[in-house]
Amino acid sequence: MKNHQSFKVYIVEDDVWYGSMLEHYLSLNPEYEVKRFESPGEFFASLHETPDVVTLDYSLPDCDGAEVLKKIKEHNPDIRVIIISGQEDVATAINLLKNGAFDYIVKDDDTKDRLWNSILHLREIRNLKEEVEILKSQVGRKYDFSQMILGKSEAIEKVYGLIEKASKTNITVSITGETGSGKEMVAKAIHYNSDRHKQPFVAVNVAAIPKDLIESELFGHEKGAFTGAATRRIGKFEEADKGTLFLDEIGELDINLQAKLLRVLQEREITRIGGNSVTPINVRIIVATHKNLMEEVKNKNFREDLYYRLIGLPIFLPPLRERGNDTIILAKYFTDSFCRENKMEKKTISPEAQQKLLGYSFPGNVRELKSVMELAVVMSDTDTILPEHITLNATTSINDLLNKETTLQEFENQIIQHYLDKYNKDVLLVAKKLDIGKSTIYRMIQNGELKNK
Amino acid sequence: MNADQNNQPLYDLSMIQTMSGGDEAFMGKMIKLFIETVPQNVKELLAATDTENWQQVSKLAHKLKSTVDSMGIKSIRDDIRQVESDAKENRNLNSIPSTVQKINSVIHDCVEQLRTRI
Repeated sequence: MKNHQSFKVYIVEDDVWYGSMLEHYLSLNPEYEVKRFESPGEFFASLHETPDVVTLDYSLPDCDGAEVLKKIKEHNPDIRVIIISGQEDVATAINLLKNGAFDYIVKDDDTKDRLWNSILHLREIRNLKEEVEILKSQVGRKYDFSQMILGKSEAIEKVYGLIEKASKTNITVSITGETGSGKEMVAKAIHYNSDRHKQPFVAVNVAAIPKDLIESELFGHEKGAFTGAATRRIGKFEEADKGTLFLDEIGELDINLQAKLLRVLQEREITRIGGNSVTPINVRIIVATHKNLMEEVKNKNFREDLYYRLIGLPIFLPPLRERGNDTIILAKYFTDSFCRENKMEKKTISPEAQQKLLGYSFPGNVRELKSVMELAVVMSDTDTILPEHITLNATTSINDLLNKETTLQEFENQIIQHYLDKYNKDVLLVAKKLDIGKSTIYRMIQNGELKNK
Repeated sequence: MNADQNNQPLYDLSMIQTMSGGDEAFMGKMIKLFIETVPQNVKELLAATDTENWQQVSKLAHKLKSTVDSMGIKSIRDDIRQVESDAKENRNLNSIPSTVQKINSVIHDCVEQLRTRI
């Protein structure tokens, strides 16, 4: 870890006299750690110490400054190089700046001031960069997927393995899973654990954007491309350059745009709407859908060629109800974090309450569990969450039903009642659905075993 | 130019004075360093001129330039530049030896003056 205070300035200058003068001058700032080298060879031997800035004399005896600059940049592009030169040739200066020199200073009366300012400027940039690095690593930690996607069930362990595989390459990933099962979390986990983690992660929910706008949203448009296109706008593909583009609900993409997307993925370049020039793109694609895409292909709602393009590494996210005890692990996690965020005492979940959670099917998956637990924390007045604090969706699930110990007759009543409620008390339809006689239902209603109101 | 030797200094230390931040010890060190290294550089320049190795002449003049400027030796400021660019482009080669002689002599006198200063 670099010490924040010390800032390494290395001087490469074959003129001992001039070099010593710069060395002394820069040492006047106690925060600078200044070293002087008389030849490139000597300097290269110390390059591994990662100086923050190198001031480089352009005309050195063994090789010229351009070459030294190239080598430094090859070694570590983060090392800033300030060229100091007796040369006053503009073309050379421009070339050096193009090749990554931070500044070009001519040896004259103002050299010291310009150098001083240049280094100050550089330090400012470095401090900002460090701050960004720290923030990025914090964000990265947030997306440490073992903390992001919790669970110990076999089904989720399998997902971990796939995330790890996906992070190592640029392969397209397709995530399927029910709503609320954490598809975007998986996408982020892949991105933040891949080489691209320092680049943007851009998420687009295809279903949430009106059909007419999605094209410009994805590919951008030039000024005046269509009515309302008052300014030029870059699309999500360009925004995600070198990073990851997450296309959620890809199954909802308009069939015409599917063709365009396929082309973009194949050619790896885009054309903004109303534009002529093509822009190359370097984007990792992750798509997600709650639909069965193969089914959509069969129904001609999704292009087969695009399907094969996108399928890549498929990751299936299991619904929460198939993740066994993960429900409890997650429930505890959500309870704890909600308490922490709201500065409340920690609360435990009583065994009965846990049983209630395990008996529920969670159609809304992890997302639903999260809101259920947050509400439970709010409802509970003590440090324990009891079954009555847990409000589950009114439609009773089959598990919920089976957990109750009662007679077969009572089960029967409940099942028929559920169907009656579901189908608007349409006795004929319910009789057909359950394959029982309609008179049976009418009799049960008359007996008061069922309610038909 | 020898007439000036003992009266007017050939150099102007104001630049290294500001650069040293008023550090007298450092000033002394820089002057010593000048006395130790620059005559050697000038010697090399003379040798290269004798052998008509113009590329080398240009390089050496280039190297001297910044030191001479920083020490405020104004009387040869333009001469050094003249030598550097002429030698580089193989121009006015006939006049280079005499200019180099002038540089040599000014540096020599300058070194003598500086010796008395420390």
